[in-house]
Amino acid sequence: MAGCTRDDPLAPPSHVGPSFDLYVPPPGEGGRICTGYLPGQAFGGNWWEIGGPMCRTELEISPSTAVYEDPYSGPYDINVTFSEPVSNLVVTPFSIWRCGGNPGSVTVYSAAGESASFPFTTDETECGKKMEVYPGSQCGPWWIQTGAGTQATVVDVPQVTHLVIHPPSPLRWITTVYEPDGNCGFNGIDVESIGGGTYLLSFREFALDENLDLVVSCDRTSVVRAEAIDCVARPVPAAATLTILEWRFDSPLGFSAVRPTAEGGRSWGGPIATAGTMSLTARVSTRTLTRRVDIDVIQRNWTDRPIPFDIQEETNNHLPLMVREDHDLGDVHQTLVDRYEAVTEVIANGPNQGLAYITDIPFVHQARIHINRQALAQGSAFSKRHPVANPQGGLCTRSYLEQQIPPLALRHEGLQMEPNSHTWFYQHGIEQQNLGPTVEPLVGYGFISNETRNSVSDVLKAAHTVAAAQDQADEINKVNLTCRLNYFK
Amino acid sequence: MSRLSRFVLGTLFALGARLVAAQDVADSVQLHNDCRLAAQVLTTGNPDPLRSWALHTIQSCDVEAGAAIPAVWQSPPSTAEDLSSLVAASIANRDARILDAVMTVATNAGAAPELRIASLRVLASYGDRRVWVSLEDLQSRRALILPFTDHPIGREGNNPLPVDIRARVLAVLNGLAQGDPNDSIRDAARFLVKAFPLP
Repeated sequence: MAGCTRDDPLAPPSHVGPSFDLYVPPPGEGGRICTGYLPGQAFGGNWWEIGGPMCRTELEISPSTAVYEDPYSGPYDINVTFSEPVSNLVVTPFSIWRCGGNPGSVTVYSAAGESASFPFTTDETECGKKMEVYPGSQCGPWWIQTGAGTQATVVDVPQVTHLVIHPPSPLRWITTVYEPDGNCGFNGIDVESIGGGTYLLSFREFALDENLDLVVSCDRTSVVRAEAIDCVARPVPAAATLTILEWRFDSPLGFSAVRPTAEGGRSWGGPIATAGTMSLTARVSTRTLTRRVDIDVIQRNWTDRPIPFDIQEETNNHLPLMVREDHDLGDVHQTLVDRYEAVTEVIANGPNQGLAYITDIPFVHQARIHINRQALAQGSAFSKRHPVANPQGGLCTRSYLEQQIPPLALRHEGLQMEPNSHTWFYQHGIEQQNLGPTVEPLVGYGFISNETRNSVSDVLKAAHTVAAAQDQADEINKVNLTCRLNYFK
Repeated sequence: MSRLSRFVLGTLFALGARLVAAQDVADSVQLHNDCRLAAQVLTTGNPDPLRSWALHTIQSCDVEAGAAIPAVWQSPPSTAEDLSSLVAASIANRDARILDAVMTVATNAGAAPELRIASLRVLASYGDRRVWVSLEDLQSRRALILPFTDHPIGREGNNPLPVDIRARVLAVLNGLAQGDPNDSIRDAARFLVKAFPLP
């Protein structure tokens, strides 16, 4: 039997729990606050100030007819299904649970298919304390506190469609109350304490009207090819919940990209190689909306872009040993050679991921010069038609053929692209066609396809034909020999 | 300059001119004989050791080339170098008899692919005198347009090519591009049709 004092040395030490937190409104802004714990439409207002018109959202509850854990028929899980997804949810157990017990938890399921569990917390600041039925009376009845206050739990999951409440444990327990016996002593009386109780569900309900909106804004809607964009989504009002359903990019050329669901996120961006439409489908609170932004691509300025060239001398295998005219001494074969692979870049991420574009002119002016060194060599039949040393009738000497003519011929053909040489005329002829703007827009998926390359082949052929026709090296830049050649007749 | 000096110099120039003329005659005789021998080697196959020399020489033989080169297409050389010489000799002599032989090989699905590729090179140059297609162009498909030379290639043979030679060549190439059973020939023909320069 305990003595009649305020400080009972046998009482358990005080138990300090979390701060008392019961009156918690749904976080965020906007919409209308609703509270529900009964089947059917939720009430308007917070649970401590219920009033006004009923809310639109309805509750379906099982197994009971309220969001209520019956301490006598329980424990059981309470299932609640909302008629439409709710956000900014707060679950407030309204009861007393046993100190040190298991307060239970709530598991919520969202419209996006996600689930999360939140353990309930209790306020145990009074646990273990001596409580007087008549505070201040020296010898009135008293007990040691065994019940903890419940606390509100904020559920940080948008678009909750239903939830399951797992009960606290134990639902019932014994508390001993000490009654004075009239002789300044006390008699202990065991009384049953009960937990369980009602759970109040508060949330924000947004109007189904045009006030809910989805905005997609991009840092720019017109980019120079291969520059990056970044688009961001936001709900209106800002406090409304936003659930991203699908980002996608569609190009009139037939290229489409859908952002992998796993990446999620309110923003999407990356380098852009082809014009198209960026679109986002998302749910803003209760509304599913799609918004589009057209992205324009500006060509890079490839006007007058230099054409790369590759000029080399190649061993002659076709000029004749029996030289009959100037052209038998040397020639040059010129064309435009493919280098698509070397200048193709593939975008690694974002709306144009996997799209290939070119970073430079995709062809090279290739020139292969052939000098008839076999015929010019001393000992050849052609060489023998010329004197060894002394000029006869102005004829070139054999050493002149072998040593002087090849460098002159190389200059005429244009090994170093000398002005007015054959290679110089072709290079200038091609560059005058200004092919850069024609090839700059070429894009493809993964690589530049043959079909895409073929789309500009006629333009290249036309440019080639024009450039070839402009070659005047034989008219204005003849090989200037200081002697005559004795050609075969 | 004294009269004697002018006489001596004049005599020397005249002597030089006669020497050059004599060399021309000698070379012409040599060329004529070389061409006859080359034609014999190429048409009969004998003497075989001179075959490479003959292929190189026949390129300069206006008279003999038109008859000798078709024989080589019917009994082609085995080495890549000789095949290259055959192509060069054929392109250098634009003769209808050579054209017939080349077209026969090009369209003969049973002929060796290397020989048919060589025939396509000749056809391309026959179709356009400024086109020269290398073996590399047909094997790696690097050129976007068939390479052109700085001057027209080849001399007209004794039997000139038909005036619609370009159309004929493109018709053959189109046929091969669309239906030849050999992948490499079909691909090469497609490349040639696509890359042929505009007329």
